[in-house]
Amino acid sequence: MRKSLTLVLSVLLVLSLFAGCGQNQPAEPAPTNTAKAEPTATAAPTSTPVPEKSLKDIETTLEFPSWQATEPGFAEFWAYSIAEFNKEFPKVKINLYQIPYANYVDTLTTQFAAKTPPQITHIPSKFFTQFQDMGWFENLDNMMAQTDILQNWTKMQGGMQVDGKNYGLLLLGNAYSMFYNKKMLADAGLSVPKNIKEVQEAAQKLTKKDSKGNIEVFGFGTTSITHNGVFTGISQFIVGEGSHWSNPDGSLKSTDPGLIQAINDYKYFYDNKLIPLGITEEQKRQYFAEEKIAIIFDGPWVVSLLNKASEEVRSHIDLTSIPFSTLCGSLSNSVHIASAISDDEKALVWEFYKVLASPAAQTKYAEFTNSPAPRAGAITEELQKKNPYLLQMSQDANNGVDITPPGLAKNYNEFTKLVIDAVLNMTSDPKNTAEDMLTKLEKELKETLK
Amino acid sequence: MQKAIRKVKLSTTENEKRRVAIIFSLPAVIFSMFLILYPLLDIFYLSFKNIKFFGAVNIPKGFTISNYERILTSGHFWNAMGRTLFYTIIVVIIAFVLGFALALLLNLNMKYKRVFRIMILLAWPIPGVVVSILFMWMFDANFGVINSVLRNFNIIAQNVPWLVNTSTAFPTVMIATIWKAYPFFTLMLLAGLQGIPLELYESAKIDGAGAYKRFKHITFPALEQVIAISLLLNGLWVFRNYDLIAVMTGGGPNRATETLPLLLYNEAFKFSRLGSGSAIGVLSLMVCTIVVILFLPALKKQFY
Repeated sequence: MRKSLTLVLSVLLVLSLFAGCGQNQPAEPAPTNTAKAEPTATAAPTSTPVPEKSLKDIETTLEFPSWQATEPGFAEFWAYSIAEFNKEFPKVKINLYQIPYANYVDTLTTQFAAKTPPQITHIPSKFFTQFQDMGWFENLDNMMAQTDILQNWTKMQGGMQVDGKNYGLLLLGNAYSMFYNKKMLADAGLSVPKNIKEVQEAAQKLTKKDSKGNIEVFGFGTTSITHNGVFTGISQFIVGEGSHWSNPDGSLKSTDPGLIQAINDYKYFYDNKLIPLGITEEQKRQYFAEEKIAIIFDGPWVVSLLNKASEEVRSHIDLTSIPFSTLCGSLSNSVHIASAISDDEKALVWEFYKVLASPAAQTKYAEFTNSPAPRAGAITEELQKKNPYLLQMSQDANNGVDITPPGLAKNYNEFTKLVIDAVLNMTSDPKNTAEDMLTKLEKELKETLK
Repeated sequence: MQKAIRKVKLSTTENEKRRVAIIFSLPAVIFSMFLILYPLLDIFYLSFKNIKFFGAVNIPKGFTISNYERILTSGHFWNAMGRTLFYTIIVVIIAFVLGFALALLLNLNMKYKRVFRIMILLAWPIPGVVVSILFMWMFDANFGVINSVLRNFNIIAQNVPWLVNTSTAFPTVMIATIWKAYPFFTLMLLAGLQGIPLELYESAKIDGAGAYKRFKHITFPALEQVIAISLLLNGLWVFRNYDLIAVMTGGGPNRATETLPLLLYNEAFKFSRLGSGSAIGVLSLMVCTIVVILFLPALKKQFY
């Protein structure tokens, strides 16, 4: 017993030492913007690409991990692109292999940390700022300048820029659309809403209660539990109505009337009990597919889910542009070049990306994946016949404004967490106001980022 | 001539056996120590560094205790610590009582004993994420079966948003954890019960001891070591449980279910503050170490 007590007291003593004694060792400050910091790897500056002739003589393997390597639709696109690339560069082998999404970023991070990054770097774009902050990506401006990519690419390519320089090529940017149950609207004598007021009115009329007063069909649906979907949901309203969370310097627009109005428009659904409480993004889509929600705002991936619904339900569903003055969207995934690889490899990887970005490949992308290709004009008439939603989604995506808050991309995760907590707190009681929420959020943001 | 008497040193069989055992187990021990010690030392190291992310290109030189200062002066940390301790203690107590009761039941001779054992132990191999999704749908505020049953029995008039209200979210998560935790107690205690010689009970019966006295003087003392081990192991599992809470509530609403593992994950991987996350890891480890030390005497007790 005495020995145990001694051990416990020793551990407690060490704990209390951590709590305040000792001096800070002055640490050298880390550079704040690694877009300017040169990576420590031996990569040469990105001025001149290696001449094509010598590239075709190079025999090498380019490693290409992806979570989409075996995903239906995307696997076909990658196979097509690799085959096209190999027509020009038959001596270069592209080793595409699958890493499950759940482990993907960790695996990639480990590879970068070990200074053995994959030559072809494919990432979910929400991690772009984080990776770029580590100085891991090459500036692609010179390479892009020699192509027509920037003139024909989605506006969301701006999300791949740091200080106006491109560090990646956006492969998929989505705009959010309004998915609605046209049968429910027709049965209620409603036309398709064209603005948020009409959505609110439609939600009121479409929300139905059972005999005991419990709601059995909700007019509108959005994520309403601690989940990133809460941030996405409210940001759709904010960006859609022409505002934004923050100024370019990252300060919150806490008194902006446009922002407050947008938040109140979002809050309307909670205050009037028109949405199901406590649901995740996945549950929202499930409820919609089961006709328990009449209208949702979501991305093109819902189409794949709806394809699994019954024939009858599928015939009831339609989509249109999100009913806001500004089309809003998000970045999905992108490709980059690791700054730590050799110049030859960089040049070869860029040749592969040129194939991905070519008009033919972009059309194949849309065809195989049913997703809006980032290149303008990629959706042919033939594709439109196969997937009537594709043109709408592509046009919206090409004109979409990213919901990432300006000036807060580096602190995106922290900011979204604060917003989720603040929004759920605000919507828990109709007496809570948007102004109060923004004031508290501003204070917490300053506290978190100091 | 008398030969000098030599003192012969005899090497004992026991010593030889011990030496051979050590030699054979040494590679495994070294490998295990490397797997355990290296990450442990790395976490300690990272907790004194102002580092954002694994593999950051520019890691500041020198050490700092700013991570510990930040964490220990943060209200969120102490709230999470309090919540975690409350969560662990309550879940373990209830799961233990439930598990023990079921173990005693399954130890009886009854028909379909094997079927009942399988049904009761079924929860244990189900992954935490699957359990979370199950309970999420059961406690769904709009169409969940729990609300439906409670309404049908007129226990509630309106649907309760279990995972949305700050007052009901934590108990809901605890219920899911108890459901996941109790089979382990049942398994361990049932094994322990089946190891108690029946002659002890027969002798006690002959001496006139009733059920309660048999339990108090035979069953419980015989199971003390098993109880201690199972409480410790399950307690540590509950303390560091992440997936159940992360999937069900993500630590919300408004951090109402945010325990230390969730806080650690958010700091290290969501907010790219690996140094702070490591500091939380070290502090959590110390708490667990204290608990293990306190349990050591109980682990050494022998009944037989």
